[in-house]
Amino acid sequence: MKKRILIIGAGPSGLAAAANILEMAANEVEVTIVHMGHHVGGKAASYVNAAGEHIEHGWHMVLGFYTRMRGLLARAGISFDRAFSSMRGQSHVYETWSKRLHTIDASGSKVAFAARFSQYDGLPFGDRANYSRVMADAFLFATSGANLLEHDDICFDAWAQERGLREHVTRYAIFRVLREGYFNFPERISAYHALQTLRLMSDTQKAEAFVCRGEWSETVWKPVAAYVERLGAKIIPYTMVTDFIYEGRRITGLRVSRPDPEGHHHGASSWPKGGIPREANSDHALSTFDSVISTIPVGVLCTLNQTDQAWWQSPFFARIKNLRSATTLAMRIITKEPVRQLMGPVFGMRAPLGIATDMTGHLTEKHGPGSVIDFCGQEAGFESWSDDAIVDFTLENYARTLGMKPIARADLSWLEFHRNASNHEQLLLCEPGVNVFRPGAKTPFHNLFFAGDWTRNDVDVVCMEGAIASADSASRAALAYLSQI
Amino acid sequence: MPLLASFKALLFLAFALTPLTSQAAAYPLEAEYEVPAAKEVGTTAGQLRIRGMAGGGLIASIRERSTASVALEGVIEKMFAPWIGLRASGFISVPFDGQLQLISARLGPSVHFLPYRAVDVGLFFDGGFATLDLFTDIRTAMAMLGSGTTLDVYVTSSVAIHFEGLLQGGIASRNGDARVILMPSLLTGLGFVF
Repeated sequence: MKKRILIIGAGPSGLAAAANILEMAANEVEVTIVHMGHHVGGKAASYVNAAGEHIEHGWHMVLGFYTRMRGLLARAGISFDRAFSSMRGQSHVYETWSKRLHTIDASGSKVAFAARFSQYDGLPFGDRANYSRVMADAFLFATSGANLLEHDDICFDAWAQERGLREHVTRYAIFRVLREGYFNFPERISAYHALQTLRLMSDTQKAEAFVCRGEWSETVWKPVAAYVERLGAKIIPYTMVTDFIYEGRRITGLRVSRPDPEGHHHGASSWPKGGIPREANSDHALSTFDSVISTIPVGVLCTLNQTDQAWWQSPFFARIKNLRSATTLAMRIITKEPVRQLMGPVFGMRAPLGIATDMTGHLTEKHGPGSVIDFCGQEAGFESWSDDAIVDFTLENYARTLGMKPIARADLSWLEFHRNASNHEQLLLCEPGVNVFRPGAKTPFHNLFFAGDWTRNDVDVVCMEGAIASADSASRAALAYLSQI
Repeated sequence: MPLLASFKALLFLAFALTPLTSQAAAYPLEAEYEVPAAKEVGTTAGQLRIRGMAGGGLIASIRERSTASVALEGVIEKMFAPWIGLRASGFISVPFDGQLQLISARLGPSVHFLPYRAVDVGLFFDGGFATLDLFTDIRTAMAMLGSGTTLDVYVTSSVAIHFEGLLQGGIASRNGDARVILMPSLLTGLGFVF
């Protein structure tokens, strides 16, 4: 009789875990995936709803070092080149001191990049030399094989200042890019995360950024889900876990209920903040499994087993309560007329939507003569601002950044703004000291394993590749457990 | 009474308008985008310090009279801690009248006593090799030791005026004789620090 694994969540880690398990042991294991939305992809989902609206949980890039993800896509039969478009090593940084946009061209070899960066005019000469020297030191340290984890309890600003970076240099946008890229702005980022990122992006190929040519769910996650279904997995949508049921050190069941699709207007909006509405009388228990892999985001995990004091007072779960998340924001605009086109993302714009990417040339589907621009960021500091205030501020700010005439709403043919406020859409903050509280794949329950970008894994920075790496650990651990029972 | 009424009206307006004016939301992260003026000066950990100096020196050989020459030195120094660095120096003397010419390359530790300050003093000890009269037929190679004291006066975060007193010494073989070569020098120049 086949052993049964239940995977909670159909995001990158849930789908990757299912694929791993079935590729390794399809004859011995049955896999069922339950997820609470109607689109696969979790926080990396984006899709066009029935009304033709683009729904974005957060704009995503694929970086050159995402080898596990590329492997998963290849196994699922997805052509990377067809699904993704390269940004050719280009990015742009807006510096407030110069009031200009400065381009970074990271294509070619490390030496070519270093030579080009020496002519970069985004920093005054003395500060550029100071920044370059400290970042070169950081890069050499990160790639030296040193134990970077020892540097998790300090923010990267302080780490760099200890190595001679002048305090005011930390305020330039080019130094802030890592914090913004991880949605840790205005929070600080752990030196471990920054150094681990430098290690992962240690050459220009590994640092090359790609964007999806279409909607993520249609282009990437649905074909991956179809692949795991072909391997034998069963995927059940609209199933929300509310509690783990356990006996001793074994999970014996899950309390689940069906979220009310009206709660997010059948996919036309985000789930509401503070709790997902459930359909009446839909609560029931699931117990048809031998092992569980939970890819539930940490924000949601902390809402489960609410009345179980013993659960949340146990040392393992008590520490998870210390983890914090950021509310991501996403916006897409389509202009009636084309605007100044730039290859690669623009960093350094004013929060809350501080990163903008011109997607016009990358998307397979054409959207008229105008430009398609995606913005992303996070909400911290702007919780009291209305959606309209954020949108208007961002439009004005983007035009000013690019040196264009102001963009009015009348200049747009499309505008979608998403405030991903519900817990399952939030992104882990990689602040200093965070790793002490992040669990790995194993839990105190012998048959419960954790995966997701917020858990410790071989990549260990918050990204899709991290989520997929966490699935590797969780699926290996789950199979090892099942082989013993 | 009209005066009192006006005063009350003013008070009322002041209180009534306060909430209205505070509703205009200020941008909450203004300070995050300001780049303050550079204020850090001084020697710190991690710094790379490059300087070029010129000055004068006396080259002396025991049993011979000393001769004056122009001294030129270039130094690259890497700070491993705020107080301790490693410096690599290249030195060349330009004699006035065809006297001994010393060229040396040395490496050694440096100590800084006043890091994080606009004025810093330090000591260094180094060693390497040198040549005497490299561009003549009687060129001689020898080992060379050096030691000295430094004074840095920071003009900006990146630029410092550097003063250095340096004594180099070695033993050269000349015409079958061992000759002790000493060269004290005083140098000053500009340093670029980053």
